[in-house]
Amino acid sequence: MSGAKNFEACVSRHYSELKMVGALKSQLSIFESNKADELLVINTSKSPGPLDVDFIQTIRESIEILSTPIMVGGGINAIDDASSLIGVGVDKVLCGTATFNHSLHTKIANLFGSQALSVSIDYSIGPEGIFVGYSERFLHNLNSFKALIGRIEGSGAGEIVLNRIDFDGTKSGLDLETLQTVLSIVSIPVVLASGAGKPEHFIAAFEAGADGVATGTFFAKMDQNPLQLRSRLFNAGVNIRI
Amino acid sequence: MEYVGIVDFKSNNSNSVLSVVVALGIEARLITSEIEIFKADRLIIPGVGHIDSIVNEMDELGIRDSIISFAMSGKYLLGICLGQHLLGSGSEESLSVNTLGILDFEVSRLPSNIDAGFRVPHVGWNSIIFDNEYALFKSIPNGSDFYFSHSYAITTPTHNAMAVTEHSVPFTSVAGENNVFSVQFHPEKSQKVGRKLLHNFCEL
Repeated sequence: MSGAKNFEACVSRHYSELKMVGALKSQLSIFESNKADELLVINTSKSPGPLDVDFIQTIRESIEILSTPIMVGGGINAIDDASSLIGVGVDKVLCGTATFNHSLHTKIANLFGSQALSVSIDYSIGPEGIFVGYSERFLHNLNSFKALIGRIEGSGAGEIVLNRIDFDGTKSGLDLETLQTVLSIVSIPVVLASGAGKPEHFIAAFEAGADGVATGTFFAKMDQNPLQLRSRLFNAGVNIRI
Repeated sequence: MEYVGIVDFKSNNSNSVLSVVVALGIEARLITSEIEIFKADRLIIPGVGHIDSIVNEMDELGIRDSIISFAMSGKYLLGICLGQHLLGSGSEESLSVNTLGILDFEVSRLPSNIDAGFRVPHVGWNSIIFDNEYALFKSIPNGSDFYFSHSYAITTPTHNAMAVTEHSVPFTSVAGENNVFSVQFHPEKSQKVGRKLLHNFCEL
């Protein structure tokens, strides 16, 4: 007898407060029918060790009813985690940065191609500097942060996803400054996440050069849907599919 | 029993293609052997990763000749993404491997143009422009967006181009001749228009 646990989708604030918004599979379907360009799933309940088979099974079952690109992250610490996810149809795996695992990135990029590897920079900024990481944090100054970004590109990443933890779930706006810093260092696409609260935030991010904007709270906790947002962006001159 | 054979390489996303085709109500199965290829009514070759991996896997499975024979039989064949590159005459990604040479085109690395906002890998939705009302594009508006995820593409113009896309430079997003077609994008990840294209392929 088998059955995947009923994984719940949730949105977060500062990464720590999680609010459930519905069953994962149905949430993904709803976003697909609203023409989301890509779906991003981060497994927040990942514990040490290989990926939970129930989680992989849920992802497999979701992909079977979807025809939209999907990126999955959360505790990908070994090549087998990446292989399992890509094997069930995941287009990109999202690896975190706390302890930058150069050799894992290289293995993933060599096996599946750079386009299959996205690397998430989870960070917060304070008077002391830039803290990179969530469960383990490393303090950087601007120069060492830039060097880290360069090394991440050099490890084979095909895309960088910027997640500013202290903006997450706040709806007060995206970190355009760090976006521009990262865009000036790498030649790979950069996706900006954390903090979108108004259509204007998305417009500003695209105008600043973001290749993509990721959001959870904007749709889950506000009276917004992707189709409306897409029209707004299109009308504002953003090159977006409608 | 007629079926669409979807070649199942270990490292590709054949399951995604299978589930989308099956959801269209079409009999399809994942296949790995010569006999299954021979008996297939139609063949789809998906591919993600590196050209040398897919070529090595194809040769380990011993199905190189059966794919070529299938193409020569006149039955319909579709290569997707790396599957497109496999059908061509060579890829800059790995000049030492022998691709199938079923379609006459060369694959090269996509150049980036950061100032103009074109970064590589080319990941995301982009438009395809076709020059003719091919049956493969039936009911698909010209200029429709499909999902791309690649660093290499057919950047040298080719006589068998059916559609082009622009990312830093123009490249051939759909190439085909007679019964053999190939697409750079992922129709199985391109929502409505992608499903339509797969449906059209299965109706040829």
